[in-house]
Amino acid sequence: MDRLAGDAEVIRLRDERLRIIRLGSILDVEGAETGLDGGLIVVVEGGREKVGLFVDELLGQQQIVIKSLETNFEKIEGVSGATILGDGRVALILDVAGVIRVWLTRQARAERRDYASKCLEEE
Amino acid sequence: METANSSTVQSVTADTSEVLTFVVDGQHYGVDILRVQEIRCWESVTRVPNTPDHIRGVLNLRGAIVPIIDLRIRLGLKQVEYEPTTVIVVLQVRSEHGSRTMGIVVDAVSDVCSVKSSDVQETPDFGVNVDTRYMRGITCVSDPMVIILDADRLLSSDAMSVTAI
Repeated sequence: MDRLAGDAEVIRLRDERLRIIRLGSILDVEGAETGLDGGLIVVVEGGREKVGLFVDELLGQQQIVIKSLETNFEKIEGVSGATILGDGRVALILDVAGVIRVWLTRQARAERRDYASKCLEEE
Repeated sequence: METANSSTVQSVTADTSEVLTFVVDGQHYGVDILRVQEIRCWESVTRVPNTPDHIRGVLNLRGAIVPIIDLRIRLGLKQVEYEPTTVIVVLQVRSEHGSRTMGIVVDAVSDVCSVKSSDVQETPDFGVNVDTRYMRGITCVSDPMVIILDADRLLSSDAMSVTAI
């Protein structure tokens, strides 16, 4: 793993360099794995961009029926819908392009904040 | 039989309405019983990211995905550990998007009572510190005092809208 200017993390996968999105911080999960050795990176593509999603654990693969969250709720950025698992629990379905958008927005905001604090220091 | 009929007629007349009352932080609140779909025990929900604090998550209600709102946090009260009496009251909410189903978490349900519209007083204005828009009124004749909530305003799109990224 390499670090580019500040918070941007990248990994090298064969000939490519992939940006890492820590899903735990995008989804505000408390207690999510923070050390890259403790989790896994899932390489995904969305909106013609390829990124690595850093997750705690992989559980499995299954076919599901997507249900809309908007029937009773609102649209949530980064989430395209939900599904009901075999045990009755609800699982959210990620929208990879949306997750990338959320991450870019936050990244830009963090940069602006850093820039602003730097300007203040200089003053 | 006749008495049963007359009581049914009475409950649907314009000046009385049946209200389901419940307790949140020791205070009694009520909602129009016609909006109540069901009452169920608290069970853990699936958390949804980037939503306001009062949205606990979503629940599978016989195949429908229903958001669950913690009324304590919605009303600005302190959050507590859920107890065996903690229940979810599932409500039908009407909004510009049509009818929606939502659940609110309350400390305990208490009663169903008839409330005459003449007994409902308008909520006093508390200035900007207390948001009274989602209160339909207060009944003071019965003891304890019951704050009647307006489900549509309490769970409006504004209140549910997702926080900034």
